[in-house]
Amino acid sequence: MPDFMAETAVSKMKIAVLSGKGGTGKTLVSVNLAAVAGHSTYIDCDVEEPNGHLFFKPDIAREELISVKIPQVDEKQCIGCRSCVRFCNYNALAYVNKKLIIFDDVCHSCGGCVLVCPKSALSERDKLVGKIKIGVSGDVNVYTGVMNTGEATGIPIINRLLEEGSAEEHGLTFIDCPPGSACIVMESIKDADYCVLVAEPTLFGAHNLNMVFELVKLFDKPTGVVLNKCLNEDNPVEQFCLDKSLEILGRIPFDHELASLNSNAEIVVNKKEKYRELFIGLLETIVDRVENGAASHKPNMVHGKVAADDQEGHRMELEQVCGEKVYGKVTANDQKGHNAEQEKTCGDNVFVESSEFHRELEGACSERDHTSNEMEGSAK
Amino acid sequence: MKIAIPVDNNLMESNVCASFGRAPFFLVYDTETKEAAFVENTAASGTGGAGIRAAQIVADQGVGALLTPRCGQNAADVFRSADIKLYRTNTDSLKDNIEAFVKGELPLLEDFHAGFHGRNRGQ
Repeated sequence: MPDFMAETAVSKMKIAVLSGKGGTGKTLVSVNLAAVAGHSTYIDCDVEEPNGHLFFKPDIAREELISVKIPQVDEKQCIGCRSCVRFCNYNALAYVNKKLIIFDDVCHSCGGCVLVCPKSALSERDKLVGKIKIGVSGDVNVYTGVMNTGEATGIPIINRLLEEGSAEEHGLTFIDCPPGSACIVMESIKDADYCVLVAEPTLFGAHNLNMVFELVKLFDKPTGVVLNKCLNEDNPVEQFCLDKSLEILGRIPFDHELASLNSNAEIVVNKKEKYRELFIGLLETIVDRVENGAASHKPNMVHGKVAADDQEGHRMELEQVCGEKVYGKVTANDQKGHNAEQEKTCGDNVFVESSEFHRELEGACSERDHTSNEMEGSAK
Repeated sequence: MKIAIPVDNNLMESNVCASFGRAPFFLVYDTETKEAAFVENTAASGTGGAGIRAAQIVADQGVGALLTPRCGQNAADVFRSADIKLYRTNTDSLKDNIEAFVKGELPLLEDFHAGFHGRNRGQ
């Protein structure tokens, strides 16, 4: 196993794992990457539904309540000048019937209203919005944010989580982001050195991947894609990645056993050697890309080979070689009716190659529903 | 009594706007003098809290009632504090709604939807 504990710049890198929608496998990927990295830090920023702790089952060493500042008015002091109402960019204040109304849910805790009040009629009070939990699971430091139900935003919790998570340097950091591409995701990735985008092999998956890809581009983050629930059939996400020159870091097969283990809140790399090999390979690729930064955006990356020939009916060959290990090789020929070949080898351990796997896939194809098949869903 | 209605355009022929907080204009109509004025809703283009600011704008017109197809909870809170009654419009036509209101045929609006602000989880 590679030594990620070595005191190099890479060992302190922060890797964010995100996706355009929930249930694609962010937690599967980030939990298992942290687990194979050994001496590492796992931060669950999905504060609305944190579930990484279900896998790590950490011993909680410390909890901290998170509150935000909300204005309150002293009605005896208020002269109704509306300076605060005009100032608030979020329209969290209204003044009617000689009374100031404050909307806690709309307030962004900027404190501006308190500053502009000429009569010091406004002050701030604490409003509890959630908590963070800091714990240890084996060699992994586990940070979990929990937002109180009904709160409008988890951003204050995420900020505190990332602050705490960075305070103690403990190997590579894996940030399990909230789904989507809203403010809470931007907050989660702002300090990340590398973004891993997890996507499902569907048209819908490609659409959601595009949303989140647009976001990481905006932040100018080096990025790669992990394809989850891969089948031996056309994957619209593969084409999307080709079109956008996005590197595919690895492919996780649609695998009943993996899904079942994951649904039972097991860390799959601790259960099966083949999964450990898969995630070690993925981690090695990511660490390499973090080290070599800019190379990650190029389709003709050092460790991989991509060739596409449109004239022959989108004949596509993808080969990714990392070190001496062949991670994936896919040949798809659209004209010949989705004739595809998949071969994955990790070290000595043949991962996806057997006809048994293909039979499993065929069975799975007929009954599966991409949207309801959420590997991490049942663990939530 | 002065009343307000969210409208799509600043014309008496305009339709009632489907949204309250994001309506481009409000008709302010005096049922006694039959005077009509259109007030621009500067909250319509805001990023958040449009309902609250729109309610502030309407309340500042000194109206006693708002006729609207729907209304958010935050705006409804402002109207309650301002003692402004809310009525549910029953057609798209401004004139028909004003007539129905004057005859006392419009029902009170009593169910309000939750705000949408900050709830976009992106799923």
